[in-house]
Amino acid sequence: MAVLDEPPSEEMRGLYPFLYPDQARLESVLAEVQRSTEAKAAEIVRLRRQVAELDGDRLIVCAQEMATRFASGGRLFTFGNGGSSTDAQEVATAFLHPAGPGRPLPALSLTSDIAVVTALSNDVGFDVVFARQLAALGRPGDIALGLSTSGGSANVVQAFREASRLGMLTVGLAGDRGGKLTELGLLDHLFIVPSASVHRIQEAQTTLYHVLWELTQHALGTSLPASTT
Amino acid sequence: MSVATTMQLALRNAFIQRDSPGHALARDSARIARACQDMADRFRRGGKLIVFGNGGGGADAAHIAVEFMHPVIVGKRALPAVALSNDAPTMTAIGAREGLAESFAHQLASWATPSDIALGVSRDGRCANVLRGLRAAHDLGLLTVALLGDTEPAEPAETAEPVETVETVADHVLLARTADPAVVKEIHVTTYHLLWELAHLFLEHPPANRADTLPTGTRTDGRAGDQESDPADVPARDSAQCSDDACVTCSDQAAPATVVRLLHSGLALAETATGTGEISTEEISVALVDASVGDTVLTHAGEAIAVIMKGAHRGRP
Repeated sequence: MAVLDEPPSEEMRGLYPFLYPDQARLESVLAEVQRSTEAKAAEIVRLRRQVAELDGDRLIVCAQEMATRFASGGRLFTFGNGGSSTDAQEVATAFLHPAGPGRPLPALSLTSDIAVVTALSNDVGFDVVFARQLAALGRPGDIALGLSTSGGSANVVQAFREASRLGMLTVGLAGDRGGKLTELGLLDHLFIVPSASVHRIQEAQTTLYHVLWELTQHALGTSLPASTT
Repeated sequence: MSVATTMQLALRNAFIQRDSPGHALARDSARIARACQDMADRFRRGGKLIVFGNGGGGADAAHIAVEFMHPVIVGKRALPAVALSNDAPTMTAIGAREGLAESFAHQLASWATPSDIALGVSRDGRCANVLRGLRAAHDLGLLTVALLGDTEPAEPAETAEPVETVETVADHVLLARTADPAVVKEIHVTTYHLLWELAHLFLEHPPANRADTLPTGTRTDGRAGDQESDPADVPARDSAQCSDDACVTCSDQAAPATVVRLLHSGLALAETATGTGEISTEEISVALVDASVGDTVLTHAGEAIAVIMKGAHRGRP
């Protein structure tokens, strides 16, 4: 009776769909999944191109200014919340310990020290977790790079106020229309990913900071192989 | 060539070289779908997601864990996930005593149960501790998923010992179609956003004997829902259809409710709609939100976590 164990043929399922409801449902879910994946892949490719158009020239200027700071002893401090905190960590490790060729540069993520983050949150408030660290660690020649998909994170906004007060170079990565970071009007460089999807914004921001890293290395005179980002 | 020209060229090349691996992801949709289907099965059985990686891959592991634990899209159920690379004291303790290669396998041995999912991230596919972690997970009966770059395999060492390859330890291998570690990361971010989204889709569309529980109007666009979240998009609780602890319609998931009376100590009576359209009244906590009678609040395990519609809109669709 081996024939009963075989999956029903296309013809059989077409003739008697009520006999194979699970199969039909699974196929429709799989079709939806495939459509969704293809749509997302196309969307992020389009969004990256749009970001290249919008921000290309400004990325070069930003990288040149970051390189100038690094060349005179400046350090990079990065910050963000949730998924953006992992991006802040990625940026710091990319500058400090490049995956391929590249000059190691001093960088620190303000999201990694859980003792400091919880102490400040508990004793003062969550809004100051990055600003207070910048006040203690930052110097006028340093760089502050913050990420917020909405542009509205209060602790990121406060950190930029503090960084600006200290005379640090301020670089913001936001999404949608830039939220409070746009309203703030005090950032030296603000790159806004024009999308309403938090996921797509994060993905495009990843490209933005990788390109920023590469351009900074070029501006510092590091010779990178053409194929390396 | 001047530095400015070099930078212009580098900028142009950087964006162009991302197109091809970006498009390639669409061609892997069936592969990604199969992984998500298996992941949803594990979550349904009460399994948790255990993620690990080194360096930037460790940052990805943390991102993946928070994505599942605290979704950016309001109303999506929290799914259990942990990132093993987050615990610096444990990582350095194992690294110093047993060696870095044991850092994930050791933690998995203490933490994992057979219904879990192990997800290892390695941009060049050569991280010894990620491979050993996947091996340990595989041997324990976990579902194993590897997120890798498209790097040439390392030259096999001339030893008698068989070389561990990812294919022998991972049930699902998902590749970013590039060898450049920065671009690998970017493709990985899209991939794990899809893993999260599609695992939910499969959870919401159980494959067998659940024809009557299929929710309609499931959002798969991944749009941000913080402020504009439409309560109609959030499936209501339905205890009548509950059959097990992992049921997605009645377990750890947010549901809208309308406040009908404020009680003492931050409590309130609220009306919720069941899946069959009946209205049931239950006591919820509104201690965390500023809710008035008539407001629609989003509740999570009996706690109102957000006001999604003020009372003036009551009765509108």
